[in-house]
Amino acid sequence: MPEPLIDSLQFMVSNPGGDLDPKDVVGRDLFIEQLWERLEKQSVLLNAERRIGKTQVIKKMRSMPAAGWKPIYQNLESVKTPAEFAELVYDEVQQHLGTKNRAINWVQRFLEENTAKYKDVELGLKERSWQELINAAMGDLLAARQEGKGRVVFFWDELPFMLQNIMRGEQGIEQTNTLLSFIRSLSDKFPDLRVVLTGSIGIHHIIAQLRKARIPADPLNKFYPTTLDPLSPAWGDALAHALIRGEKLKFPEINAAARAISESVDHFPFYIHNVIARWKDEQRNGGAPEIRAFVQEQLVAANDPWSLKHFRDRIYTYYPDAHEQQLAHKILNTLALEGDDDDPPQAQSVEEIQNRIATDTDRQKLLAILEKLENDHYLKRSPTGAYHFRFPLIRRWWRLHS
Amino acid sequence: MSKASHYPPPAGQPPFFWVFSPFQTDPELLEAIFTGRENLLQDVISKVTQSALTAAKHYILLHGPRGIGKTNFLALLNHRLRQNEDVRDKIRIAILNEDEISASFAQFLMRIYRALAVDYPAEFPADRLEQILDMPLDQVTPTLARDLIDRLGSHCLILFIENLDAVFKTFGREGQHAFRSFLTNHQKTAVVATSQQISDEFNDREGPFYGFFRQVALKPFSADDAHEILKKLARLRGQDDLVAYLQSPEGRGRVRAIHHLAGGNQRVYMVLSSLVTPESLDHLVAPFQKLADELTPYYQERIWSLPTIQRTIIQEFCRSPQALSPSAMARRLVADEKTIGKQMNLLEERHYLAKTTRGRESFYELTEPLMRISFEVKERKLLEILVAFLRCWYDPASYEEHRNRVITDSARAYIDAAIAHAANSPDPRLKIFDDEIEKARSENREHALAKIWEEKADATKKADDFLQAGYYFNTINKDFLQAIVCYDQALDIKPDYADAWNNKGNSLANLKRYEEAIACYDRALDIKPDYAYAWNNKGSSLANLKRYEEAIACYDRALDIKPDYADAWNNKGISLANLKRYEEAVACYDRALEIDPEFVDALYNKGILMKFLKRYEEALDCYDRAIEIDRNNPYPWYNKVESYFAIEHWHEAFEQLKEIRRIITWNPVNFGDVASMLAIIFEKSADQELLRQRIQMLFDHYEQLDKKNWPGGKPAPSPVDWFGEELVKSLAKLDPGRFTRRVLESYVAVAESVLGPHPRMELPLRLFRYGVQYLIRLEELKATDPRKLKETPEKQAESVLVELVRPEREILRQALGLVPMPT
Repeated sequence: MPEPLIDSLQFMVSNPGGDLDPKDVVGRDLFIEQLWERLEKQSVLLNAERRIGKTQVIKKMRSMPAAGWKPIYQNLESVKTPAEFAELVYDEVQQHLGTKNRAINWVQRFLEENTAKYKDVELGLKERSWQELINAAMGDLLAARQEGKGRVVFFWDELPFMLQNIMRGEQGIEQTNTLLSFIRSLSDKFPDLRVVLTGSIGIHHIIAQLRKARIPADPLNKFYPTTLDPLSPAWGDALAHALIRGEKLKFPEINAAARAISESVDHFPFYIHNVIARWKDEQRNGGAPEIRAFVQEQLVAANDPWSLKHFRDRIYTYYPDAHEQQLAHKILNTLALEGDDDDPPQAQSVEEIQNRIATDTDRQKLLAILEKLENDHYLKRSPTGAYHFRFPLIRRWWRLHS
Repeated sequence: MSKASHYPPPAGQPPFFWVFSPFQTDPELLEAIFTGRENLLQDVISKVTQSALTAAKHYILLHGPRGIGKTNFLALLNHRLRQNEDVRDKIRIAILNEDEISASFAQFLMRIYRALAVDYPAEFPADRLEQILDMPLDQVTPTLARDLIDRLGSHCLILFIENLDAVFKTFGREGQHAFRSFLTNHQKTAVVATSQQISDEFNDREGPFYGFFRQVALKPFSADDAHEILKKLARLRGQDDLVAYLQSPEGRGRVRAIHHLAGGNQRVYMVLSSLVTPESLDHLVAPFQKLADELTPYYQERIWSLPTIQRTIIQEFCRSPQALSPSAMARRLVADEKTIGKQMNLLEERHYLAKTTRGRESFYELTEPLMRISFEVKERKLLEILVAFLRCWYDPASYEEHRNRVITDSARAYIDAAIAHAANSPDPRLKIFDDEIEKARSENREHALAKIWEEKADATKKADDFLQAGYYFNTINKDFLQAIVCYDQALDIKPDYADAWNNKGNSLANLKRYEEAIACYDRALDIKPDYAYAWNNKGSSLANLKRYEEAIACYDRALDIKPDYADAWNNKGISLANLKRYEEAVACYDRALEIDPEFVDALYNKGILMKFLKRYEEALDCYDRAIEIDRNNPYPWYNKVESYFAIEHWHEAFEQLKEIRRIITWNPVNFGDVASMLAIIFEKSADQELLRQRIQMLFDHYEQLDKKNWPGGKPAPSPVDWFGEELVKSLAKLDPGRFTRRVLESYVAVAESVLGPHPRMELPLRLFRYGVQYLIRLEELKATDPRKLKETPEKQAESVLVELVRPEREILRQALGLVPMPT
């Protein structure tokens, strides 16, 4: 996919946090194309930091599917039990089946057989039958698609929130494990069915909890894990440029302003929208230097408007072990404080990190925590295997607050 | 959609405002008093419109303290949307006001349904809700959600939610997740919500609504906004004398005093508006007491809504008569300075405190000093506040006069206390004005300075202050008449004020009243004969009257006094050039540039002169230097192109055009002298194919510029339209005497072949074609024996233009120089 010229996009209006029109989700076409290719082979686990735009990406896939695919999007964050999940899937499938199919489908029969009734008041699904309900619903849906022509992909968004809810319930661990294993088995049962699971809170934490409860297998090991990065610099610049024009903002040098916005927020589309909306709302003036100063203000403001402090605080919940917490902080401090803001240092190898933090922790433990920090979006590995902060913005914040 | 602020109240009945329940107020009244937030309202309307018409959905959170005007804003937004023909049929609005609470997401959905049932009963029948409520409990929420979505059909639901922070708190994380899931799954709802603060629910990265809402802080009213709303309210009540008074500098100054005490809270002005009268102190004291009384619960509530530590800080500020630094506050509270500093910072962000920075130290004070009444509504405290108010309100010199006029004892007691205070402390009004001036400067609100200086001058009656006011009216606001009023006031106070005479001369010159300007400069020079600026300015006015010799004499006087006066050298150069004394002019520009090598005007002037003298290399040098100083200015670039054309460096010229396309990212007011460029191309391109190529390349440049999406601002003529106009103007620059009829006709043929396919070129091409025919005919007539002509050749040649309709003929006559161009 070619990188865009800075002024090549149609103008757009800022919409930080809102739902975007799919045509305004830019710079993601290559990622989307790769995801469709991957779905040909297997289901996908998309885990990315909050507000990076994963929901917008999958909604764009929903509205512009690749040929032969039927996409279905469902936000699962308010689901509290496997039965609720099954009902949600069933309801959604009903929406997608024509009236004719609905009248004759297996699900209808299934419900008649499995729903306890008392004086015409439905009491809900029998506890053990939720898996069969989903199986039946999926069967209906795929049967309704013409043979060989249709494949279906479910985008199940905010899965970890649902899993957390289920874990909190009675027999939560077992139910979560059963549910995840069941989701894994769907593609085996239905070769034309794929699932994209997404979430921002690392699903690996939930798997870790399952392991802790001596449930050894990773129920999602058949899923292709992927993550979503911020935009490329060229797409970030082009997005900022289009938003500046759409919001009719005036800068002495629009290209420089667009670059300053995109660059200073690491080409995060959400923050690009955010900076432009705030710039407009607050009727700010100036050019690239003032934009950079404004972003810096967000990093040091007492009320932490971008909630970046959370990256430090969540270590205490993500890493319950005190030694791990200490180690994580040391690693991040080391990687943040070396070099200066404008000149990020070279990534550091495991040995360099070990030397700098002067720890006697053995290498395996260090590697394990580095891997966790990578999964939690703090760090990224360079092609040589060395580590650096995934987002320079977070590194800048860390430098200012460590 | 912007509405006029005039609203006639029904005869004999004053308009009624629901201060605490704006949704009850007649929307036309809300329109009439809406102040300071039109841009924001338009922006929110455009975002809601986009939500209604496309798949995009916006979630907007307006936040600010109580009384800042959030509900007023929503009420007006509601009104505008329901009036808006583009969207009203595509949306369904549900208003969830602050009076009701929802303890669960189910209740919340029920409120939405009920709100819709009131406004759209056919689509959302009330009995359907009753049916749903009869269902088993676990079926109610999903059924209600599905029903709402189904019943919306293709409409977009616009949810107005007041106090969303409170709503979120009551229905907890579970309800929040359910709400977000509802919004995200269906993508049929846009939200415009309000909140008193940005609570954790909106900023917790683990929470469902992290970064979900576009958070817009409603800014407190500025003094100008306060003034505006009081004026609008007075107008609505038919208080014409009060409107006139509020428009005077004295009236404005007094509103600024209220603003100083009351801050920018809209509700304060709504309450105050019914109380303010300009007449007497007796009238003022009673309303003020009433205001204090009415607002006390409001302030108390604002303070009690704060966390304890912040409340104690505010309490200390209420006790302190002066601004305090974080260290001073920490000392008073026996607490850690860092913690207190952070809390004070947060209070500033929430508009409770205002910060002033002196050197490296920050000082804070109450944004609304009236807040003090909430702590101690006792006579002593009220007296202090009232005295502070009176001292801001009245001129100290008039205290005695007021004392004699008052009739009540309490008013007399207040003014006696004010007199006692005045003896021991400086006039607080001056501090207010100085603070406002400082603030306006630091916020780059230069346009506000003229009025503040005028108000200050009205209070101090100092000539220097009037001079400052005049300066800002003239230089920044370009309100030359008002500047002259200020200078005259300065001169009334100090008739021998040379600066005021000089500046008045400048304002008159800006109004092109040069003779009067010269008279002012002469007055200044009578008072101060070595006033170099006045000599230079007098020279400019004389030059504008084309009295160049006299102008040069004035510039020389200025330069005798101040030999390094670059402006005077530059101006002298212009006058010399007008007298065709080109080499002397060049020497003057060079002298100006020696003094100030970055004097862009002198570089342009020299460049233009060099181009005129056909010394293109030197012209190019000037433009290059100008570009070095300001790379983003397109004008020297275009002049370079023209010079390259003139010396037939075609490749360089077109490369420059590419560079221009790269640097221009805004819509400039002009796109170069295309007429001259075209005339040169016509003149220098003997080969018809070359001519075609060059015109094509030049036009391509403008067409490509045209395709850029220009950011903001009122667009100047589009580049292609500009090209069209200039094509017609190029007629005046052609020298028909040098060319044969065939050559001139070839111009038309080439222009038509290149520009013909472009629909916006149709009119310019037609005019160009007729213009060339006119020039050909003119040459023929000039070659004819004059005795055979009935009229002048110019007049007689006009016969070829009769085929054009009159407006087009007029444009062409102007372009050909037959009649003057309109200015």
